[in-house]
Amino acid sequence: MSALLEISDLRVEHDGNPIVDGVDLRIEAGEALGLAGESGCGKTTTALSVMRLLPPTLKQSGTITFRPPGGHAEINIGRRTERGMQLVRWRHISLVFQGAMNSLDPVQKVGAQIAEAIRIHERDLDSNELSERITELLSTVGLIEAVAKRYPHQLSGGQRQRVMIALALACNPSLVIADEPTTALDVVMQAQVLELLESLRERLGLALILISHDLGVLAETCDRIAVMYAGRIVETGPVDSVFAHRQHPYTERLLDGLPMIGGERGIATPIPGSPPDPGHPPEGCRFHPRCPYAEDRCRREDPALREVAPGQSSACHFAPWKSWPPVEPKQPAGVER
Amino acid sequence: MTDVMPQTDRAPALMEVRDLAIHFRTRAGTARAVDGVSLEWRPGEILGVVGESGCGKSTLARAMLGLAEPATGEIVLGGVAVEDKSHLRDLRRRVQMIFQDPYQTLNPRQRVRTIVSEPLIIQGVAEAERESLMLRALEDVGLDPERYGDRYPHQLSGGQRQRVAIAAALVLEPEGLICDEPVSMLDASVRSQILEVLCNLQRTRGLGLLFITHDLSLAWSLCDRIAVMYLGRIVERGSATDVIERPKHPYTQALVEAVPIPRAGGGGTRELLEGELPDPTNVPAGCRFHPRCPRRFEPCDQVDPLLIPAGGKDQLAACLLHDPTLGRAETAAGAAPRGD
Amino acid sequence: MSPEQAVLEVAADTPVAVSDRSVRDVLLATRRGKFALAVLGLFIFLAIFGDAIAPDDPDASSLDVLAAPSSDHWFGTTETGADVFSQVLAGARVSIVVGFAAAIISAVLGAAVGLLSGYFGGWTDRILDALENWFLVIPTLPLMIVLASLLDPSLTVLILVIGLTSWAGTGRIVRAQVLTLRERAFVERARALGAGDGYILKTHILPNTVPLIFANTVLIVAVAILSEAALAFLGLGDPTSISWGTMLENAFTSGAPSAEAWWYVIPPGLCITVLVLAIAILGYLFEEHINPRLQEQG
Repeated sequence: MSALLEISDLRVEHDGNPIVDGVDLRIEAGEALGLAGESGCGKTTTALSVMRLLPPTLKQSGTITFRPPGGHAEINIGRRTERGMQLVRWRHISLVFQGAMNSLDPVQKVGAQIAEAIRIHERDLDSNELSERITELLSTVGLIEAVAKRYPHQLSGGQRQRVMIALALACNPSLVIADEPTTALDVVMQAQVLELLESLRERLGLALILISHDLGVLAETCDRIAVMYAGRIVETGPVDSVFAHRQHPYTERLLDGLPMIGGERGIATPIPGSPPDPGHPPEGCRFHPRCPYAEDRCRREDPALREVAPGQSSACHFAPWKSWPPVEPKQPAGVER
Repeated sequence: MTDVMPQTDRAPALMEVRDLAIHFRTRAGTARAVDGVSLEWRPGEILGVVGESGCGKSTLARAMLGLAEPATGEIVLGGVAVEDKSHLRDLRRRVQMIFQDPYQTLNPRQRVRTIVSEPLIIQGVAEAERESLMLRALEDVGLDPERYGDRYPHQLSGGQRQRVAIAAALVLEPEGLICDEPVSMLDASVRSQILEVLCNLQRTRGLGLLFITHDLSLAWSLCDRIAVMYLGRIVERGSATDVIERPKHPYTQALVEAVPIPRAGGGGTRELLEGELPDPTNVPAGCRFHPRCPRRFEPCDQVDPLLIPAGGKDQLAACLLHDPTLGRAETAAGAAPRGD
Repeated sequence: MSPEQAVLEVAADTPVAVSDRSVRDVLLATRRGKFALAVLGLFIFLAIFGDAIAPDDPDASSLDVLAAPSSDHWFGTTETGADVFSQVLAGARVSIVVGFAAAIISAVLGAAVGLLSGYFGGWTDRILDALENWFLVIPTLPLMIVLASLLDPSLTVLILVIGLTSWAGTGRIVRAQVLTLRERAFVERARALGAGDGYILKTHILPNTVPLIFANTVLIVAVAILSEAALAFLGLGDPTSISWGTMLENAFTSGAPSAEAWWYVIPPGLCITVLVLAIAILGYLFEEHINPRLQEQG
């Protein structure tokens, strides 16, 4: 089956330094793919590449193919002109930016901003049809009609985030990329937004690329997950499999550090060091300086991403991992009493 | 409004807050940011304060540092009420704070060694002692003074900056450290590193930690006891495992429900709280949570509940559902325990 | 975040090299910067050593009135027969001195007002703000003219007048910066430790506003030089000193344009233009340099 979006060998460079260094991804229609990783791993850059929204100082190469549903022609995103991309953006693929709550124009009413988004691709709606669409969009994201007449500063953070989602849906795209949509939100608002995204997916058949450093958030909403490190994908697979049977040390260490209520308390052994400088990635496996399981081979050979279990791939020499040798016992949280 | 506090005849608390209220005058009215909070922070304890943004936890923290003028109530440090300037000076030495944003927490024009020595200078510590205290603080947070001492903040990563902030907080050898969301802006791997630093300090120095966060799983994992705040009040209090695994107040239950769980199949149906935290200028009458509470019943809009025993040992909840006189004794003990 | 920020975040969370891009690097990186520095350097040099270089005493009159440039007088002569070239050199000193001195006064005043009103707020802010507004609203040149004509003309008076009328813009900018700095965690921490206002202003607030004050002041130097020229041209300058402005005044009042004595008008005019341009370029480069830092702090 041909995928909705297929990314092949994506590379993004800044001044000769690779920020994204050979990424392959595919996403099917209606699927939710989670892109996990810490700052600097290249996940936001990957998302922006799909929309061709990178600044001119970044050089993008590789193939990105988008197949809009409903029998439209295939779109080769890499080869499109800027004008051509403008026809794709928002109509087929839209983006909810990170920190989106602050991206609304403070001097324009919310309704006007949504109207602007709709009119990018549908210029001949009359004002009645337009306001109907606006009301419909707002209710899709759980906001009342009156919100259209308000200014962004009159809305709360959660409401603004919903407006951003409404904006992203304005032209009925088939793929929405959400970059850290819940990061600045409280746990309750976060749950509301995630639930909203989930229901939108069901109702509208949307495909979703959800980018987050919070693995818990991705576990809630996504079907599949791809973990990125230093510009590469190090593990990918169905969300349940990856969480239950991680196949890469980085994923394992990240999940080990994630407190899960009802399980073991205390602070896990942290991953030492910090992610590598994009200009000077380590020799061999990029994760090896921080990997508690690294061996000689890891210092010399750079592992390729390969399938190690049905549907699950890992870029580790020693995958598939059946179990994970303990790194260090969990630190007790407090003073013994 | 005092609540039932268990009798303690151990050493005096590191810090105690009694019936504290902090009100701000705003254009929209009086914001009751902290509205009658009583809390005990025991020596060497990791005490968590959790709640949504706007619940008053940061204001509470500031008050505990002597940075906000209480409208009513008092702050007691080591058994002595903080009343005059000398008490305040004492407070400022014995309790320190670290902040959320590592990128804004350091003066960009100061080198690391200056930043860490500053508290010593302000508090008038003799110059001869400053150097060794500063070096020790840097080493305790895992920063080699040789390599990092002369750097400026922009030459440090987020995690390193936070370490410098912790070193600056440690240098006066405080008894308690108030941490206001110290890791929420850091990446996952760095987060664990900083938490490890804090926990080591707590263990080796017997340092008390007041951990303010909206991340419930983190609070559950790290803290000894937890207090849950809602709109300026503590609505539930007890040991971390009791409060998070067996919450007794509907608000706590809703918060715990909302935590994303890395588990198969996603969230499924959850009872999610509607709406948002009301404005602190507009505190609802009766129980302040009642408009959003899925389990409210008749007296909830008239009676403002006290913290009463509910559930585990030392667990208290400010909810009428647990008031034995109202005959609505909780049987099902709130949400089912979490975990697989 | 913006794509740029995404790129910057990659760098931000990894420690950068110890040596940072210094001010000097920024200035020397572009051709404009090099040009501007060279010009400024030249004029400062002339201001200091002008006396030694000048072939004649700038005041010395001679019979060679309004003579065109020659080997004796490279830039020709004035209406009193004085050497234009020597006068230009003397004028360089006046312009540089007045420009920098007035700018320093303006910077100190503006910074002080901005710091106090931003940090203390309340009535201090309201009063100082009203004062600032007054100075911002009043057209500076007429104000300068009024003041200069009321007071005995001298270079000192000129410096004071210019300095006193141009501080308000700096004051505003500094105040805005102080307002954000005041709420920063490191200031709160200092307060939590019991630091007094004076200490906080001195150690935390002021050092973080210096780059801003500096960038702003550089442009004020240019304004000051122009203002001096304007006032002198209007006859309000110091009659005992020779500046480019007084040269232009003399040139016009003695009928140099109709005599087509271009050598009398163009050199001072050109000097003013080029020096002001160079300073303006430097000012903009400074602003660019501090801006990314400001973003990091802001």
